[in-house]
Amino acid sequence: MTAHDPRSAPVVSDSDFVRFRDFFYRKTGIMFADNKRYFVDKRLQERMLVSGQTLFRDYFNTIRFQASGQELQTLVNLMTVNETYFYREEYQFRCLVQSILPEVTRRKRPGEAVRIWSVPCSTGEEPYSIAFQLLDTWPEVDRYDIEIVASDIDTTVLDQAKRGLYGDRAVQHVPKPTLERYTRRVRGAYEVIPDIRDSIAFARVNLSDPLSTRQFRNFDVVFCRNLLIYFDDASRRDAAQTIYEALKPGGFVCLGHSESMSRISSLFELRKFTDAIVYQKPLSAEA
Amino acid sequence: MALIRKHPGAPAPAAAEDPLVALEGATAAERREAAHRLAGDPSAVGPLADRLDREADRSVREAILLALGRIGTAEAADSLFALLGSEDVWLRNAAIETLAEMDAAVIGALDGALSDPDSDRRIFAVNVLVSLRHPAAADYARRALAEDAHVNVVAAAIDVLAEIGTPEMIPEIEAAAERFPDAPFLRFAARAARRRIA
Repeated sequence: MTAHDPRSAPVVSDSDFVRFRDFFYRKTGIMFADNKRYFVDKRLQERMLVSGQTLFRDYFNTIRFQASGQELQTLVNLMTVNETYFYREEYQFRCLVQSILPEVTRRKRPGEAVRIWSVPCSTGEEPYSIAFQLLDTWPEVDRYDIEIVASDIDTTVLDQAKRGLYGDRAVQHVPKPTLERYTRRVRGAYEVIPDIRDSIAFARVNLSDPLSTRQFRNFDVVFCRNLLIYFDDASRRDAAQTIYEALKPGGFVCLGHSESMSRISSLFELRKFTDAIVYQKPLSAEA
Repeated sequence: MALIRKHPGAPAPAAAEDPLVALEGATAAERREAAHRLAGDPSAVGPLADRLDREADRSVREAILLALGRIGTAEAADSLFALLGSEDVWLRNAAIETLAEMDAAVIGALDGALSDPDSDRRIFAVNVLVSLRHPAAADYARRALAEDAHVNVVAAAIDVLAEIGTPEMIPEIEAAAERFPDAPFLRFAARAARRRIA
């Protein structure tokens, strides 16, 4: 046996990979298939080098037992692709129009408001995508007032969202006619037209603090995608409580494709629609 | 265009003066909010645990469990360990999940939980260890391994060490399996643990 050279990449064995994968799944609900081995190893090795731990066992103990949970959080951030763009997981927007809104509006009078909350909204791609989708594809769009609230904990991204300026990459999945209708070219970028920008209410919020979100109430639909994977278990449950409080009875919450409310809270009912699986606050729940 | 901008929501309704009073309020929303407000108050463990015992609404129960977890004292952990004997499976599992997130506070309450005369409660207490972010978690599992007289508690401890144990613990795991010669499944569990942590 030769001594391990500290300058070379730390070794992650087959059994290390399996142990890490099981642990990471329990913590985040994200499961890495065998074909993700290279992706996982590379990020583990990177963090082991940065934290000066050459043995997987030592590093694994750090992510399991570190009181602050900081290293695990860093690893979660590295293992998840934090990329946002228009029409990301577009099937959920289809589900919104085809399945969710027809159910929501069955309980409403024409002219009544349909309230949608996008949280976290990051730089605005999601709330604008919702607006585009409704305007383009929902036949009932003119029969109801639609209120879209977009929130994030980060005021810098909220400012960017309010400006509504995007590069080619962000809008690459937007159909060309939609892009032409709802954006205009400004110095090589795409700027969302003022009518739509001004119709969305942007507000800062910390989702894991149920008390700070008391004014966010009576939503019919909440989009909370790819956020909970960054939280620890207790914060996820706080966030689930916040979403529960924010929704009307019978309201829906859409999570990211790798997230499951069933693993976090038993407050919601699973609903399987043609285009997506979403969660619903029971109609029988108190408002 | 049907899109309209409104303020994110109506102004927040005024909170009741005293959350301990609101905890007994008529609506679930009142009681949930009271639980959220009491989440930072260690002196509220008693009233929260008492309300949890009588509370029928699932959403309020979740809020109270969260509050007890957030308070995070040994007293809060004790109140959760007391739920491990509940006939209500949901409540028992929710208590285990909450305890698993409380880390250091749980350590203070584990001595009592692992000495409980009810073996089922000891098994649930051992199950908390697997998710505990504390370096002493494995030591508590080792204690159950070496001392507990009930085969299922020892089996639970072996399962825990298969997850959080280190190679040095393999002899202890194998010795524990030998303590119960009539329980071949323990030797199987010990072999599985060895494969995982060797």
